[in-house]
Amino acid sequence: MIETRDLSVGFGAAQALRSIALTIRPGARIGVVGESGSGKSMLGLSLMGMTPDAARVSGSLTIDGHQMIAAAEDDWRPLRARRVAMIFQEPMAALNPLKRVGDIVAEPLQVHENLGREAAQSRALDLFREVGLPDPEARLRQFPHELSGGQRQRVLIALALACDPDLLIADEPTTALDANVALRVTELLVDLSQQRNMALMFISHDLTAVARATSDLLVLYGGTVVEQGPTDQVLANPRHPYTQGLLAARPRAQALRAGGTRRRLPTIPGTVPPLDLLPAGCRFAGRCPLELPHCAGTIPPMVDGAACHLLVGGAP
Amino acid sequence: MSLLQVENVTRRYAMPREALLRAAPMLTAVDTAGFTLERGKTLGVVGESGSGKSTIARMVMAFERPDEGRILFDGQDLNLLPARDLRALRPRFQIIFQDPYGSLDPRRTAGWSIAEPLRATGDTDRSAARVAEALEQVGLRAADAAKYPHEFSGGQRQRIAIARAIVTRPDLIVADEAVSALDVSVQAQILNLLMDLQDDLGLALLFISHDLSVVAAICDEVLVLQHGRTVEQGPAAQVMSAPAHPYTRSLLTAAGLP
Repeated sequence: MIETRDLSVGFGAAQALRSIALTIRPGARIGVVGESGSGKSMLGLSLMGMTPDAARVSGSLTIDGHQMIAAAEDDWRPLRARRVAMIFQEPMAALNPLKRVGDIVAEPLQVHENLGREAAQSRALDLFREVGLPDPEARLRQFPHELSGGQRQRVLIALALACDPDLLIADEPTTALDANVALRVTELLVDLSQQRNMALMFISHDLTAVARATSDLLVLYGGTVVEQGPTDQVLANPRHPYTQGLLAARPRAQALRAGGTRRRLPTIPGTVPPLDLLPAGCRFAGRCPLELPHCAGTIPPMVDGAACHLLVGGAP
Repeated sequence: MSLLQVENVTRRYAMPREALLRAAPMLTAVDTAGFTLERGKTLGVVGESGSGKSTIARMVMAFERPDEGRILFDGQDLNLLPARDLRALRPRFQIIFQDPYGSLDPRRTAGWSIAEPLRATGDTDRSAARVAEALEQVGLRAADAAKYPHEFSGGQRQRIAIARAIVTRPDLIVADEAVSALDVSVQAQILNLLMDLQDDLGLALLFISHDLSVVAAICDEVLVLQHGRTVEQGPAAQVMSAPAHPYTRSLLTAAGLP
């Protein structure tokens, strides 16, 4: 189990993450949504102990009860791949173009699990089968450029699974893929999480993919959790004005084309400010259509899964 | 006469040779595609990567020639025009690319980039005034012309790319995945801007996207491509509500549309 309490990541005066409280149980499927700069990827990196050198990490982060805040690189190394593994958006950039994909997947097994070459290749073949790569024996001998984008992402998933992690962090795993391929990769991640009882953190700005992949949802804005709860509940009944704005901005054919005319999409006014210019209180102040005078200066408490001053003292 | 007429165009590319003495295999990127686009209207071209969408965009922009068929802009066959006449026609059709980071020169000011199509045609009189006007039309300030790309957010950069496309006062804009790299709230702002500009300026829009939900929101007509072939074509509302081809249905499902 992985737990964070009051987890913050700062750069100079700017805070990239503020007071994140999160509990990840075995088999949980947690979605993390938010726009560029909301802190999604920083959250993933901090759970891997991979925040940039300049970052100040504070609060509490425990992995199976071990406090990992301020842990040394040597303490993190045995946890990566075995406890927490990560896959990234660009499968081509994450695979060594000069190595056969079978060797890429076998390597961590030889290094971390002390398997011999034969045994590691045979485990790689099992993993290729598990992630649904067609013709897995032939794939072992191929190079990354010989595979399609969806197949490369499956190889990366196989690589991440090699050491049997408790948590798989998938950072925008479907963003670079075509919609049909993205759908199949999403389904694969859900199946793997269920079959292995492995926790999945699905980081994405694609709300459709997150709705499919996850059972719980975190909505990040300006490095804070503005809303959290069961995915279907948050999407069906968003309570924070930011979540409401984000959901409303999605193009939906039926609503827009009603009556044969093009309607304008609802938008959130303005843009996300740079980290060092975010308001000290509610990060969404300044863009919120329902802002109260004290919102910008006071940090809102989390009330029933939404951090919003409007929800303090009863539902609006 | 339609503003843009694409008639039975086919485009093939030679693949790497498999053997020295054998002819290189050919890939048909676009196979006898055809459509017309009227002034002020929007046509969506949808498909997955490799479906031929961007090849169509490049042929309409006369960046490359079809192997068969013809492309008429305002009645003139783009591939029969002498180079000088084609250059004179270019200000009337412009393009916006996907990547607002890669399509602007980081060492040049926004104003310099926006004025580029004016310089390309030698039309530099009043270029500063035209740049200022274009910036205001896309919701930025005239003073932003002096700033560099890194001073803008991704959404603002895409506004600059749109300003560059409208600075020549074109009749047609080709938008090649122009909102695909943007966050959903920024995407909504840019889609609204494109719709506003279209209504104000009477632009025709060739809107190329892999995202059916976006296409459904902005397009009058839709053309669905798979492996270079047109599998479905018709009014957007009809294609979305009653898709005839299984491939269109699979795209709708993947996009989370009912």
